[in-house]
Amino acid sequence: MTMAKAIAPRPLATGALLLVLAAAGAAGVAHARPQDPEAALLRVWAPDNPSDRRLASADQPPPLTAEGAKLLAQRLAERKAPDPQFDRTRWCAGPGMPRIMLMPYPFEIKAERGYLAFLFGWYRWYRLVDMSGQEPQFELPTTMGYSAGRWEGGALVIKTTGLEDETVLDASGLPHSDQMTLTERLRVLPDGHLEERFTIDDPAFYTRPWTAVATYHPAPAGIVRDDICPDRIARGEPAVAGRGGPQ
Amino acid sequence: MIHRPLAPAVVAAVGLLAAAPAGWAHHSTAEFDYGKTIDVEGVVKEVQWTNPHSYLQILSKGPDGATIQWGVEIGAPAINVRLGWRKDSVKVGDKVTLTMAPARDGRNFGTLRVITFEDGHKLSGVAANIKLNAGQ
Amino acid sequence: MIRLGKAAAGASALWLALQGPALAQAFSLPPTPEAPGRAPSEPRYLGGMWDSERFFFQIENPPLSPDAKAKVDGYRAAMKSGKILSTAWTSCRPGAVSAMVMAMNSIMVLQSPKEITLLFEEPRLVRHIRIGGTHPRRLAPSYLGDSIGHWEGDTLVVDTIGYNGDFELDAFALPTSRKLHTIERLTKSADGKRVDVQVTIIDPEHYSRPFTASRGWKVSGQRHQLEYDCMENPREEEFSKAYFIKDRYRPTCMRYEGEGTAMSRIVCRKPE
Repeated sequence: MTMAKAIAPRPLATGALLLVLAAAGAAGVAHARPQDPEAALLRVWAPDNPSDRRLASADQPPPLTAEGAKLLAQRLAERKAPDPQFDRTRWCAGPGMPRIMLMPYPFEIKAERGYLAFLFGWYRWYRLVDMSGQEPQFELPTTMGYSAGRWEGGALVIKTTGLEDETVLDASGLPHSDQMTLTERLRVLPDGHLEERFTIDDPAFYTRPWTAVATYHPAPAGIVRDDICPDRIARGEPAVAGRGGPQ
Repeated sequence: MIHRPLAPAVVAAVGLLAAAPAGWAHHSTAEFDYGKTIDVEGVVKEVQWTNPHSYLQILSKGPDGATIQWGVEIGAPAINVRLGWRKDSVKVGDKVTLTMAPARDGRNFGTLRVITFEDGHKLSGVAANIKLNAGQ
Repeated sequence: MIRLGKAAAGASALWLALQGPALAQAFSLPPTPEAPGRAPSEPRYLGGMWDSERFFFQIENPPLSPDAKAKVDGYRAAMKSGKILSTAWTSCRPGAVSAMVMAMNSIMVLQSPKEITLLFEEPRLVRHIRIGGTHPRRLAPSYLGDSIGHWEGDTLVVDTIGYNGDFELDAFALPTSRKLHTIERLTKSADGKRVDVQVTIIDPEHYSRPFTASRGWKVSGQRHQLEYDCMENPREEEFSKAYFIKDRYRPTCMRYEGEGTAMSRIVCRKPE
C-alpha cells in the first residue's frame, strides 16, 4: 500500500513546524547499526510526509466489508462539512493508534527496563509497549490499546489489542471495532529511515488483514514539544496541523 | 505538609474527603449536595461512557405518572473500572435504581452513590462514601 | 487487570533468565555501561511503574499572601454558592507541579543516564528531567517549566523554573505565577516499594514563604497504564455552572449537538 501524498495549503501557524520536519528530513539521516536494532530506534523521528495522512489511497482502497464501506462513505461526506463530528481530534480528544503515528508531529522512542515508550508531539500523548513477553490483560479498552512487543531479527513487532472503537484509523475516517488487532513492524533501514508497516486485522469492517506503510526520518532531539491542543483551538488554529481538503 | 490542629468535625470531613475519588478529582463538585441521598427508579435510556465524566440517563415515572428523564454523573472510565465497572455494565433498557447525591439547584440530576440492578446486584459510584460537603 | 504477585514476577524473571541468549533480543536493555543505578534494587533507580499512593485534591493551609488569600476566599465563596471551580486542570491543561501534587493512578518512570522521564496517567502529561544539566539563560514560560535533576545521596532533587503561571496548584485554585520555582525531592525506600515525594513550592508573588506538599508513590502491580482523556467529551453540565478562575479556561465549543434542554443531547452550546 502506498501512502497518500502530502497536501497544501496549510495554516500559517503550523507552517513553521512542517518546515522544520521537512528540513530535518532533507538534512540527511543517521546511519543505523544493524547489529543494534534497538539502539537505532531510540531517538526522535518525524514523518516523511507531514500531513494528516490516510492509511490507504484512492487507487489502493482497503478491503472494507459492506458495513465498513457504508460508514466510510458517510464520513467522507461529513468531511466536507465545516465540523465533521466523527473526527474527535477536532475537539482535542485522543486520536489513538494507529492514527497518531500518521499525524504530522515528531515523536521520540525511549526504552526502560522491559518497556519501550513512544512520546508524541501532539497533546501530551504517549504509549507504552510491554517488552516482557507477557500477554496484556485489560478491562478497559483505550485509544492507545495495550501493546506487547518483541524483536524478530532486526524488526520490532508490536501487537496491540484493547483499542476502543471511538477513534478512526486515519483522517479519512476508516472505521475499526474494539476487536481489532493492530500489528506493527518497525525497522531502521540502511539509509537511516524508519519504516513502519501497519497490519489491520478487524473482521468487523475488513474482509481480510491488510497492510499500510509509513516512513520517518531522524529528527533533532528536543523538537518533541509539550503541545497543548486546547490552547491552539482557542486561538482558532486547527487541532491537527496540515488539515486541508480530502486527499 | 503544614499541620495545624483541626476541630473533630473538620477532621472527619477531611478524612472522608481525602478518600474521595474522581468525583472530587476534577473540580470542587459544589453543585451536588453530599449531605442528601435520594433514590430514583427507572429504565436506562442512554449510557455515556466517556471522559472526563460518564453519565447515565434514565426514564422515570414522576409523581403524576408522567415520564421524566433523570441524569446521573458517574466517574471517568479509568476510575469506574477500578470500582468494578465495565463499559457494558449498564445497558439501555436495564431497570435500575439510582442512589445519588442530588444537584443543589433542583434539576433532575445528581452524582451516583450506588446503582442497584433488577437482580439486586450493585455497583458503587464515585460519591458512594461522601457524606459531607466541603467545609462542613 | 494483570495482578502480578511478587512470586509470579520472580518466577517470570527466572524463566526469562534461564532462556538465556535466545531471549536477549526480546528483553534487551539499551547499552548503558556508564549508567549508575541501573539495577532495580539500586537506590538511585526510580524506573518502572508506580501508583500514586493516595489522591490529594488540595494543599492544606498554604501561606497565602493577603492578595492571594482574598482571591482564594472568593473562589470558596463561589463554591459555596454551588459553582464548580474551573481551573487549568479541569480545562485540560494542567501544569507539571499540579500533576505532582494531585497525581491519580499510575506514573511510569523512564530512567536513562541523561534524563528521567515521568509519564502520568492522570492528568496525562510527560515531564522531562535532565540529569546534571543547568537551566538555559532564556526560557519561554511553559506549563511544565524546565526541570533539571541531580542526586544528593540517594535523593533525586529536581529544580524547576520557567513556569507560565497559567495553572493552579490544586482543586481549590491555589494560584501560581511566572516566579514559581519548585524543588522536588524523590527518595526510594530501602525495600524499593515506595518513592517519597516532597514538593516544595516557592512563589513570592502569592505565598509569603516556601511550603511543601508530601506525597508518595507505591510500586504498581500493573504493566499497563489506563487512560484519562480530559477533552474526550466536554459536556454542558460541566461548565454551565462553572466559575472560571481565568477566562482562558472557558471552553471552545467544537462539538455540539442537540437542541432544547434534554440533558442527554447537549454536549455544549456553540457561542452566538
